[in-house]
Amino acid sequence: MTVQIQKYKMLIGGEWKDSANGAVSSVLDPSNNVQDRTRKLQS
Amino acid sequence: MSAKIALESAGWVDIDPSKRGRLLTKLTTLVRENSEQLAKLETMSEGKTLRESKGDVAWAARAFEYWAGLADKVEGETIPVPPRRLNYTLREPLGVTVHIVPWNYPIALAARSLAPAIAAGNTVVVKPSEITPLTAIMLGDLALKAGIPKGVINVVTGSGAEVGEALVSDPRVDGIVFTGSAETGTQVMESAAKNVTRVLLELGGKNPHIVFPDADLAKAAKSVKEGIFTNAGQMCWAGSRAFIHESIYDDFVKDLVAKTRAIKVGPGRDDTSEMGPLASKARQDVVLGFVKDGLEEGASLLCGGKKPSDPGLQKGNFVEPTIFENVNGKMKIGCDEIFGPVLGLTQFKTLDEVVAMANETDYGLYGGVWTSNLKVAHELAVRLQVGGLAVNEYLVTFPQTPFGGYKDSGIGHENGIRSLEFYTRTKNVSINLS
Repeated sequence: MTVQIQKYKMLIGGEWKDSANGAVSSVLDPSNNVQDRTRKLQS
Repeated sequence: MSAKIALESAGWVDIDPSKRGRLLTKLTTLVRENSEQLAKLETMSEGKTLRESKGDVAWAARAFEYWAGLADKVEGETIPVPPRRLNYTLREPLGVTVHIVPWNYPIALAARSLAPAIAAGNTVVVKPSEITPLTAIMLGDLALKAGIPKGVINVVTGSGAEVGEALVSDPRVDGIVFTGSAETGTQVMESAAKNVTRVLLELGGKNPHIVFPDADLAKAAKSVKEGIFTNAGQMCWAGSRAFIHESIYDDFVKDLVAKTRAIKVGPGRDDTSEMGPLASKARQDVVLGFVKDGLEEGASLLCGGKKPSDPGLQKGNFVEPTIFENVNGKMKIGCDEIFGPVLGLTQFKTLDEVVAMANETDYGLYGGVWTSNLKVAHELAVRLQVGGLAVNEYLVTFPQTPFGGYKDSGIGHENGIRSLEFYTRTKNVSINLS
């Protein structure tokens, strides 16, 4: 399982905002580093 | 900066301290109600087993609970001075605190420093590791749901080089809590020094786990095993050096190796897994590099030392639980922090000899002693240069007990009521009554 977060959300001043550069960041399940599935989290 | 604005806002600066405590109590409840999801997120990003993640979430909830109770007990003092004067101190919030949280215990270590900061009336900026940000993001969401005012808890994501450096260099920051490597901790301290910003550092360890012949040896072997292979050894307080008395060495090591070979390595989300993967491919490469160093330096490999052969584990960052013997403090595997599932064994004859070897490294975070002789235990408690010592147990810490390192393992203490010293400023007030 691989989780790819399109944009990390940041909590600033009580508001959810996109990460500073809007870049795609990946969180890879360390037990299986092959991207076989993507999922968005809070975006 | 949102945290600075929130710090000075009426909704926070004037809040009844007991209400701060109630907000933390509410957050405690929400963490417990969402513990299953938090644990799954932790395992998904860090790789540790679900059992370990559940323990970490439970620890985080307990930390919020502990500090909730202390929010209205941040007391100053009155100090006797010459007559016709009144002298007292005020304990004020430090200000905006930055919390740079490592990837090995994302939610537990976020809670460890965030909770006292909030209890003392500070506002915080949390920066989780870029490879394990999920539970910190969810914690921010739960904080809002708990009713903690906007801007009091902020969560920013990104790399340490970019986001972390910007935070520790910001003159509007009043305190920095960093947990991570000694190398990065030094850089954090250098950046903080330019703004005379207070730092609390919890850095690496090369921790001794010492077994005497009069100990409960079955329990000791289990503890030595769990002391290094929990979280795949990715722990600042891992018992990565075990010193075993020569009179029991052969039988003890035979038992330890058998127990270690029986560890089921597998994906963290699998309930039957006892040890998960390393957190990243880079960490896997580093750990296997240390194994190579150990072999080249003359240590003897007793088990592990490679990726598992199981075809189902080839895509992950797994490394077999590894034990070397004939390790000494001159070897890389005997003095460097490996941060992986690699244990080095050394025999000892006398108490003086083992104290000298245990104190040989630049680190001084934690240690363990197994003995039924209280005199020996107390003597080692005095002579070992470590910030924390466990006797007849290992990997034990509570929100109410101090945790911090000697030597290159850090500055200051987390946990416990005395850690409030870091999160508060003391103002002395002298009043002439004549």
